[in-house]
Amino acid sequence: MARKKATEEAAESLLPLAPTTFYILLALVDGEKHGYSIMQEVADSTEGEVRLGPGTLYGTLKRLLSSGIVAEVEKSDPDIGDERRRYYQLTQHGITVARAEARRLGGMVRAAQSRKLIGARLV
Amino acid sequence: MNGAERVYRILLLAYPLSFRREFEHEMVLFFRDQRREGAVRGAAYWLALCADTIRSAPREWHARFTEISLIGGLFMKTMAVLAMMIGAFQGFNGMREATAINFSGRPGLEQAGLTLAILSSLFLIVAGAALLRRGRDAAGLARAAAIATICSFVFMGATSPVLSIFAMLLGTVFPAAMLVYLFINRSAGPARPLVS
Repeated sequence: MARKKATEEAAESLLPLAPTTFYILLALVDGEKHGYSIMQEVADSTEGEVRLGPGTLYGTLKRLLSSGIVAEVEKSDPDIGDERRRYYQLTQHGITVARAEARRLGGMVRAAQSRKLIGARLV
Repeated sequence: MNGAERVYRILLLAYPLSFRREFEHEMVLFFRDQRREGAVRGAAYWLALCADTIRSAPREWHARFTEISLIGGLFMKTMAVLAMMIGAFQGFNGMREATAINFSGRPGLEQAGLTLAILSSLFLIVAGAALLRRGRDAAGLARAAAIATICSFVFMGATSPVLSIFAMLLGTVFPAAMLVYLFINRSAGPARPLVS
């Protein structure tokens, strides 16, 4: 119980996440992906509103890797003739961080709803 | 490699070498995926790519410089600890020699040399402690201590070589190395945190 609380506190210390970072984490919730498919997933989930460039994407992934939120796996990609490329996946810590950020954002949305700033159907 | 990929690779040169070593291959694969899907077309693509590079490359350079200054900070800490250890060793050595050679009965120059060596050892300890505590005048104090140590050991070597060659070398070479290091890192400034 105390360990779980410490893990959650460690995750909360990283909040708030930059929107780009949170989109990347959301893209990885379904499973491991390589850089390009992360970009596609983010573009799809935001209906093309957010298009990550390679510099922003790999710069963010670098920071996520160094903070242990994301881990990488190298394996071959059948789409490009079995050339090896890096896949990224959320670690347990990463899942906790993503959950904490989702809760934080949910709380903000609820606050906006309670002040009738937005309708209840938005969530 | 076609012309577009060549231009893309030139754009990647805007990132620090360490970043390119880690991600260049992946970024090129990313570009090839985009080309395969027909996204690499028209000025809009290249404008967006340039904008992304302008936004992200400075961030990577900043991260790289922070990394370097952290390494520099660790080195500064090591230097400070070494200064304190060498100061303590030299001070102990000087006092041991002073008691062994009947200090009060020696000529004035020898007494002055040995006293200076002991005092400069104390300077080294104080300078090391100041560097560790990141005091505002730490670098100035360390520089003064290094110069005083070199001068007193040279003076003592010329007038009364009572200390061993090892102690004499340690008393001159280390402060000289410290001076060089402080000179190279003079832009870092002592008031800046050594390790953030």
